[in-house]
Amino acid sequence: MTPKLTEYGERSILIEDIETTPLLMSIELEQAFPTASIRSGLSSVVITFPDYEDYFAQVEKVLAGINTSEQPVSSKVVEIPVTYDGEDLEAVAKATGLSVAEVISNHQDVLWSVKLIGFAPGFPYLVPTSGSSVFDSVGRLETHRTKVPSGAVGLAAGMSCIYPSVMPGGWQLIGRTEIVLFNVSNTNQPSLLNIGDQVRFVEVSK
Amino acid sequence: MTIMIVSAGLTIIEDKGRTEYTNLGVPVSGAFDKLSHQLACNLINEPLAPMFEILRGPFQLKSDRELVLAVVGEAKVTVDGYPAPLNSVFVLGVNNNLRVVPSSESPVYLAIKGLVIQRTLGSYSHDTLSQIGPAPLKDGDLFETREIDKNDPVIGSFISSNLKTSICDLRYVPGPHNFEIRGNWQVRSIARSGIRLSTNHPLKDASSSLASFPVMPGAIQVPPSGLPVILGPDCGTTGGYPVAGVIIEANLHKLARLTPETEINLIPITRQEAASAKAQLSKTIANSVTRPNDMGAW
Repeated sequence: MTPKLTEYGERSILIEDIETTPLLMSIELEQAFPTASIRSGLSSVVITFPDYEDYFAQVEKVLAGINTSEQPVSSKVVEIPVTYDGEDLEAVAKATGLSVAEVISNHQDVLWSVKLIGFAPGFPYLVPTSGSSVFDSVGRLETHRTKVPSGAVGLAAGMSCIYPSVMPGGWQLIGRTEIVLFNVSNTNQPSLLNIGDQVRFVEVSK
Repeated sequence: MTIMIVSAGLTIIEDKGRTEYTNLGVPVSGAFDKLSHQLACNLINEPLAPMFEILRGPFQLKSDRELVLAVVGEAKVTVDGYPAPLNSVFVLGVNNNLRVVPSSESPVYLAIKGLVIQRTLGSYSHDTLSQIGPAPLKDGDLFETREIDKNDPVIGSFISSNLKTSICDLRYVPGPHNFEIRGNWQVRSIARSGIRLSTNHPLKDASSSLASFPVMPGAIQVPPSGLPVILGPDCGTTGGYPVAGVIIEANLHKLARLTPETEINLIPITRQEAASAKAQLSKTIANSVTRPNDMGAW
């Protein structure tokens, strides 16, 4: 399957239907187009050129040359300490057919991978490295909360997340962490997590 | 102290925006009305200047040092009660009261030569979504300026081009998703995060939600309601709703000048046309400021 390229505004191209990961594709595109800005989605990549020009053929050529069997895996595993006292623990237990205790242990057993940092500064979209987990059946809340507390750990659509600051949100909350995910004074590395990093949640002993 | 904010109104600090951290979820933010901001930068000859974006008045300040400044936008400007010029650079005397009252809902830019602001993640901009950047102004806030040159050649500069365009005609590049959005829409609300549109005929088949992908200011999102939202400078970096088109860069400043109930006309154009509109606007901006010493010998 060849990736689908679509015009996106006057200087960007949206690349969808990709066989490789957005991360690997971003790395290859950054090398080929050093002056362009490349951003990842959950299953797509957007490349923005400094000026308008018809880059479609050039981008297609670079994409065709990507070795899709090669997957960069970050060796970095970040442990996130969690207190499992989220408001939606019971609802998650019901959706998965597990007990609350099993939800808590399963969430720690999954090795998560950072698929995307988006939505808000330092907000990680975490997917199971194995591709699926017992949480795949957990949906989003019907009505989102206007204020999710900072550090809240959530689940939705087979993914897990951590809210880096207070904001509205629709993920089901199972716990919270004290860890600082985003620090603006650290200009070189403001986000604790980066795309490709792995995450392991560890319950804080009470 | 140098500058004291006597009345803050609703005022934030903005520059060109924070583009380097979008991959970490940090909104671009930056001046809402990029055209006025750019003109104000050109007036004081500080290309990347942070400045006050006055969203609601009355705004008032005084300074224990002379200031070289310019106000760009639609506003009533006075110094100690006497009318002062818009769209030109003048000197504010020691302890004189500068008062700026926006005369419409569009943001007004106050550019002060040598204004010192702390940078956050490479930019001076305040982001209303994440609160990253300098805090909104409060009554009694103090600011410093760098030493200024009293013979600065920018003093007396003014905007000489007529840059008036119809704010109601908004051009966009269609896609990446297919929705027919051309034509008339009514503005429902305006915020730095986005402009909500309304109509009696919402778009059909708008219920789809997609795997989150990067979005940008100017993107026209189609949420399940079928009522599009044009994203503003403080929009989130990714979104899960289809995007029917993106407002061209040469028209982005118009979003800041819209008011609720305004009827807008969305006009699809090609990428080539968007690029030439941008080149044309840059050329106009570059030639828009007249310096006193440009006016030749009498």
